Amino acid sequence: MIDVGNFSLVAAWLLAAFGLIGGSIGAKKNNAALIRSAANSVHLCAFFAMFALFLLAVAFVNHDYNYVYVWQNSNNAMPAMYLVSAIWGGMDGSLLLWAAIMCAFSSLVLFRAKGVQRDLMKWVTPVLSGASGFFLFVTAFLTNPFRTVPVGRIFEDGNGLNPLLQNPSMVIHPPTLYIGFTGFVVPAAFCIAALLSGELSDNWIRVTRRWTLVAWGFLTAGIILGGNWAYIELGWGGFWAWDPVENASFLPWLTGTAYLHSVMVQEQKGMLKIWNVCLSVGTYLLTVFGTFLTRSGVVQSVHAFAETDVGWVFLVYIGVGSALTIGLFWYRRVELRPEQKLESYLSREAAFLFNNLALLGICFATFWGVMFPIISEAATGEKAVVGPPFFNQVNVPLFLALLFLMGVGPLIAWRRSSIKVLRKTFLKSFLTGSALTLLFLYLDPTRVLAAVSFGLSLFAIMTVESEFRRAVKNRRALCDEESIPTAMVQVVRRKPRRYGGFLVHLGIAIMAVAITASSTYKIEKDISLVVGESVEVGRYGLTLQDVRKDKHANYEAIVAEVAVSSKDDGVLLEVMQPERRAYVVNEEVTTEVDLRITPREDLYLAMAGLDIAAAKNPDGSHQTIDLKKTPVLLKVFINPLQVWLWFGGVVVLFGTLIVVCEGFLRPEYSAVRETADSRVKA
Amino acid sequence: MNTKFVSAILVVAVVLTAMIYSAVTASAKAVVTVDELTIEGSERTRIRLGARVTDDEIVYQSRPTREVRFTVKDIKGQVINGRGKTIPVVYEGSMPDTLKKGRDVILEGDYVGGSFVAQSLMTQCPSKYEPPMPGEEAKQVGDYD
Repeated sequence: MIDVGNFSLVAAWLLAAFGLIGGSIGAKKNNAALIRSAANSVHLCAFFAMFALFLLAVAFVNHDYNYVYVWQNSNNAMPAMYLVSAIWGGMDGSLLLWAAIMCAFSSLVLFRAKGVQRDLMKWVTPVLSGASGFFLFVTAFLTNPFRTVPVGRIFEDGNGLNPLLQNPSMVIHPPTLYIGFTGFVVPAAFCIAALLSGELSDNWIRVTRRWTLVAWGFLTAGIILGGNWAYIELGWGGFWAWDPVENASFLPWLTGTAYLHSVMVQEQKGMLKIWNVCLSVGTYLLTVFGTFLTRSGVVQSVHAFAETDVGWVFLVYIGVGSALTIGLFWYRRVELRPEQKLESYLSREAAFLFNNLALLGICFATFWGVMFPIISEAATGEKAVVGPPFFNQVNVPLFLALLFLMGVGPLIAWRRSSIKVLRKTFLKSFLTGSALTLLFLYLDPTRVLAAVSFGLSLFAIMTVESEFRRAVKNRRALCDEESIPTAMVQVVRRKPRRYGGFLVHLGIAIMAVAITASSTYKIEKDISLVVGESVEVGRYGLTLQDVRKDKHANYEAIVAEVAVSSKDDGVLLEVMQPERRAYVVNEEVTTEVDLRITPREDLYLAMAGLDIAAAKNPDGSHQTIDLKKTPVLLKVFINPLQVWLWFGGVVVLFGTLIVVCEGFLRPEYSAVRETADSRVKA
Repeated sequence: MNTKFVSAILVVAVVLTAMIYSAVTASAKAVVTVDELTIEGSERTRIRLGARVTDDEIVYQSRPTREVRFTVKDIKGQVINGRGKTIPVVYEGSMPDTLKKGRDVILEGDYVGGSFVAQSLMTQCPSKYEPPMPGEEAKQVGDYD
């Protein structure tokens, strides 16, 4: 069993090494047999990597504490769901998961892209093998999850998983994020292969478009799930804190989003070729950079991971990857020249360019903020840090610019537009948005950015709405028996890429509204109540009815029963029960918040602890305390429109799904394209 | 070269640099240690202090106002006659129950009149992401001194 796991990992690594070396030689010498066997090695490599992952899962489910990693991250009391999620509870398993997903992606790409030009594909194989080979090397030789405990030692029970990770979000958040991260290897690999082969038409972009979208969708979902986890599990009332770990996932999202937009300019106008090369490879390298950041301990984070030396290996990999790309790009600089010039700032390509610059601006500012301790120490000798105010101050105006461009970009003409046309298209939504901004400024002149954000969001939503209405109207003019919903479905079905994209924009605008509202108008209050006492917060009256102690298998909880009533008429709305859990095994304490979610706002209660217990017993024991007489410390948050953040996220993902399913929604279209592609091939 | 393209990039780059510069000046906090503060002896505002909570009692009240008082020492500081240099801390906020003797904390605030007035307090959980090796006891809070 033990040897099988190790064997699988090493076998996968050797196969990847063959894919890289054999594939490169085959591609260089145009040796068909070698090219084919390199491709086969990718599939076999994926099989062994997935098998290793499966073996690790089996070890967790069977409580096989012969493995150090299983002992460290699980125990007998854990429910089965968390036994599986314990695979990514630590670094070794996370990296194996990463490697396995990347191998699976590589294999799937080679299966699916059979019709693509051979000259391009023969180089894709070694590049993908090289990428996954690196991660297999790390997991097989540096962070092997199949390390065993010293011979002769037998363990009946394990250390247990960090209780913060025992949450349903943590079951799906890491794999979702990893699928997103690793998925970006596909456009990057095709890009490098295009540079190597000289097949620099926009073919590599068309082939990888859907893969990029899938990766982007998973990355987006992963980030939103992470925010949701932080919101529910960490008990500080927020969902995003600009922590290095969060930023690590956000950086590739920004460049990935920029890439999805800039490739459209290359497809339509033959511009931004160098730009797209940089973005596709850059996005992939930023996903690796995120791993470096979280695994090296180079920047201090409240919830950073263990400091290890492994992190530096990733930095070397990033260095090699960047050098290779820059070298190739220099080698192909003539072919990468743009076919056309930017003619006017009033054009869609200009809107896309500015969209890219804003996204990259946010990316750079975020990177700067994350690395600021290192930068400042190198520059001035004194280490300094920047916190959330820095990120907000720089990034919020850039996000607002993006909201504006999101409204303009999709409806402005390619090449050159005129003020007259723009006035016709945007006047109504622009004036309505401005009116909303002025209204908010009138109500509260101090909150300028929030007012602008609401106005721009409305502007963006209205442009989406007007475009849908126009399309539905045109469609019903043609087939007037169709009902409005049917016409809407047909509109989306016939142009999934366009209208799916609009839905994504709509979702982003909804999220922008929610983020603005919940961060600007948040009410935050620390209260301390003894049983029987009441307090008023926002529209609510809160009464502490009771405090009780609940004993569970692996933790002990102190539960506060808080009656929530409406302040105006005193009607009881709900009894909320925030908890404080003390885990038996590793003495961790966690907060279980209770939420009252309404479309208007979230009422968020977190128990910060018991007053006297905290003061008199610093070791955390609560035995001698009379719960009925001890003040309970509660954190109360009222987050306006919070639920719309998650709803907007769902809309974004639904829109992405529609774009991804383009071929499925329009079978006739995709059949035409397939023939066109095979003609190109022939 | 495409002048429109290049000038757009240049303008955005200049604006961005200015934004980052002003944001850094507005919000950067120097990272200091207890030893640095006590040696300099001067008052410093807007700093981040990484330190370790001493074994002195953590005094805490929630009524009428919220206040936590404790002392911190340097994480790597020298110990002379059983004691290193310490700084008293006042934090006006709720007592986090992760705050314990011997824990490492990150404080943000001002060093005024020989004591540190913290606006924010974060506790580091040294054992959280570092599970022990099999057979070893889990690291107990406060025992890694």
